[in-house]
Amino acid sequence: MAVDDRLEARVAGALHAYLDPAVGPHPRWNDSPAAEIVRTGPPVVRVARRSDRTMLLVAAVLGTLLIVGGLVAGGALLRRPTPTPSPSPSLRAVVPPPTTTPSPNASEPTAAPSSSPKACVTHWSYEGTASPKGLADGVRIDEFSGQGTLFMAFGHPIDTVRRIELAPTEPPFVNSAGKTVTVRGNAFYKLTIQGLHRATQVNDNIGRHTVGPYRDTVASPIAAMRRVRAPRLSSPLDDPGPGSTEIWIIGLERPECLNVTTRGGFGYSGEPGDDAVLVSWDLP
Amino acid sequence: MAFRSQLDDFAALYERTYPGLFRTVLGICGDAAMAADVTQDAYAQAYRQRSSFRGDVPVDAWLHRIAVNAALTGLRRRKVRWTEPLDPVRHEQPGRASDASAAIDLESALARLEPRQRAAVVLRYYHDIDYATIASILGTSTGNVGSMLTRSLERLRRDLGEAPTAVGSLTTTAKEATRGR
Repeated sequence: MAVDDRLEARVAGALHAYLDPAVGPHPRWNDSPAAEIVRTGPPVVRVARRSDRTMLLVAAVLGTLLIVGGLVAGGALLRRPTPTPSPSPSLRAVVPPPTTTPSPNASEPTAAPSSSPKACVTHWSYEGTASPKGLADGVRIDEFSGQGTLFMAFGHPIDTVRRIELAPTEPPFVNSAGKTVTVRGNAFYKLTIQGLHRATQVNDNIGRHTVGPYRDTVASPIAAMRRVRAPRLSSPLDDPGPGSTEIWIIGLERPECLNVTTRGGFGYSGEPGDDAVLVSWDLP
Repeated sequence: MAFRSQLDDFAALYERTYPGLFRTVLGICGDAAMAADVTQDAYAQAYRQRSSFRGDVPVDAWLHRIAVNAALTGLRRRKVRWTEPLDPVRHEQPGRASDASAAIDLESALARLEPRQRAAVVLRYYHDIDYATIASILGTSTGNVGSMLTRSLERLRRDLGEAPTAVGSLTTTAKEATRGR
């Protein structure tokens, strides 16, 4: 049809006007980063397959021994108290990356002195102190860093949520109906939010409002997220048990350390205090 | 096999195909820096996969498949919001002011398409690639390519301020799809 031809020609012309002047920065193979990559290998080797987990754990244990040995040799351990034994060593024995300082009112069991290498944080929890008001209005991905950041905005300051916890977990995962559910990923965290009177609502800001595995909205390194327990909506806030608890399983492409910060200004209550939690990830 | 000799001289293949592949990725991502990175990732991936390529599609289409997938994956990972038009200065050439204006309009309109739709539009209307090859690049059917292009053109028509067309408009894409063009 002639009319379509006109539109198609217009689109083609505009595309040529847009793209023809664009010249990539690496027209020569020998000078290209790709050539460098194939010469030297990829910058990051991902060890994420479940079948490789034994090897990963062995490497992690060896890494721990090396780090501890290095610290002992450097006298670093002599200058500070013996750290609390780790309750779950599965993701901790790794080279520590630099991370931002979490909010001072957040607990961080594996914090280390700033002068020495920081341990890989794999547990994070927050205990509310005020009367619970619940109402998490969103657990959404990304939006800020573009690096798979998990973002939780609460309707009221997080001080009014009974407890928020992130901890490593392992399959099998069981939902509130007792059924085993599958979550994609090679390493897993459990996100527990206690003290809600309404299930969190999806707010991905991408236009697709889906609930479930979040295949459409997660960003690397998150491979999938799945809610395995929602609060019973009629449950009163003074129920400290499962009635006010929401649990998510976060599947990651590879083991990652936690980097958690809290922020203010996202809730709609206008109450002072941090009302959002940002979780980003650091490679071990 | 011709494709094998092309892959053996990967440097020559790179230098012949790089401009087009970079523009494809730029058309999908809308961000020059990201497009440069994604294009490099795509070539590195292609280099590593070249021994397993069986020549089922032309080498250029195979490269495009890798690059388009890398671009779509990159967008998912980085969630780049493609809302800001590129610097218009980059497009300004003597006597081509209207072209630059059209390009900026199109950038804004493309930004409102889904990434896969953008990929289909760039492959079809910039590279003039046939439906069957686009389908193999995007991993879908020729019918779906036709549907994507039809929806994309409808959207672009609205956003570019194109006057509504007579009955039967926008049927060429669908017809091409059914012909497997």
